[in-house]
Amino acid sequence: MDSLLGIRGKDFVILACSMQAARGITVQMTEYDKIAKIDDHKMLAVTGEGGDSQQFVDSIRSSLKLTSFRQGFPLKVNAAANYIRTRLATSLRTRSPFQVNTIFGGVDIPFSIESEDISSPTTSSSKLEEKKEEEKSKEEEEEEELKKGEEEKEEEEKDDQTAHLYLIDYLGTLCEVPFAAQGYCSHFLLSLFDRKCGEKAPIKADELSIDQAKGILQTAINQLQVRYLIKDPKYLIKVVTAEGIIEEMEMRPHIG
Amino acid sequence: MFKSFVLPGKEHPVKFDEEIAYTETSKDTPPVDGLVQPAPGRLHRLHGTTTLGFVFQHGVLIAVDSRSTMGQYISSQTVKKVIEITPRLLGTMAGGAADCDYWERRLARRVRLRELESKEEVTVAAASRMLANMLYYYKGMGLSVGTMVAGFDASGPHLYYVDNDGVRYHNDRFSVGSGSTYAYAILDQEYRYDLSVEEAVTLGRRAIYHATHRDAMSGGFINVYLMTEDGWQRYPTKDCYVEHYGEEEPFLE
Repeated sequence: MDSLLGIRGKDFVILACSMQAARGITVQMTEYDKIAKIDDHKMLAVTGEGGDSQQFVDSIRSSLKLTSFRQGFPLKVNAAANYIRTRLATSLRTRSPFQVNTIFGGVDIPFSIESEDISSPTTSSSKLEEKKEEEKSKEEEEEEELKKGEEEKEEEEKDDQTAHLYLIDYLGTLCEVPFAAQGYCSHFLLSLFDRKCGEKAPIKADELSIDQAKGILQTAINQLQVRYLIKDPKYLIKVVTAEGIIEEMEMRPHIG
Repeated sequence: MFKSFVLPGKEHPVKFDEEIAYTETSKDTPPVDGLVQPAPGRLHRLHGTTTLGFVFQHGVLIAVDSRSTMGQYISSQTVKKVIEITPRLLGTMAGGAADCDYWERRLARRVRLRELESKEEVTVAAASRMLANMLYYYKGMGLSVGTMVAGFDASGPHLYYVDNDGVRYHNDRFSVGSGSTYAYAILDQEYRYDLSVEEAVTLGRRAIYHATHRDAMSGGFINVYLMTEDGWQRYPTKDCYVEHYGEEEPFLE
């Protein structure tokens, strides 16, 4: 049984997965990556029915990429999570639903539409007229912009939680969480996460630094080695921040 | 793109397949010691095999056994379990013989057509993906395919594992079939990337031999293929019996 873990900080998300891919009683791959890169700032960790998980990731990745090409900017993490949820919910009522459970995480990045004006091309004469109008209304606009800028700043200060982590299962259940575990490992780890970075913990998940979060994951992996029947020899860790997926490393349990 | 074909004209094609493959004649077989004996149905297919493949410095090596079984009965000792897709692509056969044979031939046809269309060699990644997508389309409909797609393309030697779940893995070594656990033990212990061709061929044969020795559903002859930049070549077939007893079966003379 595959293990998926995830922790959300203020502006980063860390996902971890066991690296074994098994068929029946045989381990077919020992270095299998279950965390798919959806775009530069989004990751989707998937377990479940073989075949389904690979096809599902490909389908989601290409759909979201198409959306970003059409719009000119990528979806927000929340929007993408809702999209994935909907895909699973619709697939549930088909003849062959996707049997996949996922953890989806990412970081919202501020974007600006720098590209050239897409609106219909204007003739030179109308351009001149526009210029005059622009000059007239420039002063008014500046005032408005100042007001807007202040409002935006306030909004930004409120919403500085840029990292988001979602648990999405095959039924289409979607919930935003500060930390996540998918598979049997969740029975061993959710209490540990609660203790280390839950609501009542001295440090909340959102106050963690990347290193602290990695430390918690290390403890979690060590605990699995003690009580979980399936002892995965190594885990793959991926860290995503506003700079993109900045780190991919293997983590092994320390015992003793 | 991929076109599907007509399914059996039943309400539930999968149920129909299960009935005809497994249960139909089991009812007729007399119970032994009060136990109902599982018997092969009219369409019961080849199962039990050992196949293996690994990537090393000179290319990809494929080794397979040649036994075909139907329940307790050995229906053939001379099955050709390596399917030649193109001169630079090979497929192996484990699971249902008919399914492997059909779907890999279908893959061969699609690969050839695409090569003629695009005037470019189809990569191993693309070919294995085509097969995986075809199998995924029919997932849960009773197909039984466990195959390795081995090949050499512009980016070097590659080995993919594809099965009827629609799974597709890329790795340096795989073994598929009922004897795969036995073969893996030998392969994992003695595999290195820098094997010479001779060592690789010996290792392939050795792993299959040990699997045929322990797995009742594997046996017959050992076929070895080596895939290099210049395409595949076949190595001499070895008889498992001779490998083990060191002589031809004496009573046959």
